[in-house]
Amino acid sequence: MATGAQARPVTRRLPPRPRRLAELDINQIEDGFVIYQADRDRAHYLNHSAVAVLELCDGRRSVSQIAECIRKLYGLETAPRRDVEGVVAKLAGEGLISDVPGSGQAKRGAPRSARRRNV
Amino acid sequence: MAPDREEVLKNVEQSRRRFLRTVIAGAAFAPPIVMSFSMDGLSADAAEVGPISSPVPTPSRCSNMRLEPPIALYLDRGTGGNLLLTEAAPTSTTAKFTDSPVLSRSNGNPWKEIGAWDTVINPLPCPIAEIGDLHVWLGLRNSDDQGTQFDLKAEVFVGGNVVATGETDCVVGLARNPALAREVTVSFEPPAREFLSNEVTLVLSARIGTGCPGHASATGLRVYYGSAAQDSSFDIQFENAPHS
Repeated sequence: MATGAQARPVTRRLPPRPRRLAELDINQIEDGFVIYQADRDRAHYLNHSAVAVLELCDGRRSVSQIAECIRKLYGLETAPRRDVEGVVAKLAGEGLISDVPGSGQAKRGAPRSARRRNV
Repeated sequence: MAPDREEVLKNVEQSRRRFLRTVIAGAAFAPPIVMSFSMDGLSADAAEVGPISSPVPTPSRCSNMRLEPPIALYLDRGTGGNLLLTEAAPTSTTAKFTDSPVLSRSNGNPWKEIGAWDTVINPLPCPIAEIGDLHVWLGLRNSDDQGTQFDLKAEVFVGGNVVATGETDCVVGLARNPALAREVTVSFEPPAREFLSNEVTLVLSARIGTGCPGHASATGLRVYYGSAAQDSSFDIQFENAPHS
């Protein structure tokens, strides 16, 4: 019987407020877009809907807000929540978006040292 | 453009707004697709052409310097209110118009966007060889502004990147009466060549004329287009179109 490492479905945690990397070089081609990440030796093909999702990842919107924006941009009846979640997970996995540090957590006050400086 | 769409675009960071506008222009929603590839094992040439089988245009496909005939792009407005560029010359006897916001010298006399006219040119073009002068008919929103001088700026975007800009300053002699709309010409500097995309957007902006006398504010500048007599337009010429 096989033991040890076994493929298991991985539930990837979606970034609560995903943010597109600032330095991405998005190249338009005839039927979509290509992003080259030379530092990671990776190339990514995205269709226009995926790029729209990527562009809406500004660190302020939640995944459901992005889905709602996609609904409005494309004039859909319902927000394509599942599609957006899937593509955000993929973009996060490929390192094209990151999470905003501290997003999804309760707001905390300024660091004590900062507060002291401000007195 | 639909109000919902505009509402979303308004909340997108300004530097990315035009790009997002071109991404969604004329496209129906399709399930998002992301396909990722390792570039290991790809030669530099292959990587330049594209690691996937998509038809990425490359300079080699456009290298014989044959010029396509210029394409005239006319400003127009769709039935949904969206601004667009069309290759069909207008025949209507009644012009459409789009107004700038209120313009004022206060706060540094900023440029205010009048509108963004979009189109998708097929087939996928090679680099732009030349952008001809923009001919545009202008008037006033309000007759009280007669005597005001305006600066007009035109920017051509390809694939969300600005490739050419032109400006005509101190435009004077405008009137509220549409029949008295004045033709103004904006010349573009030679376009940047490195952008390959079939998404073309013309953005017009206005401000109160700088360095010229006249009122310090105005209700707005009016751009007329879409009629045979006021067929605001410009030519765009590409190097030879790729033959696939």
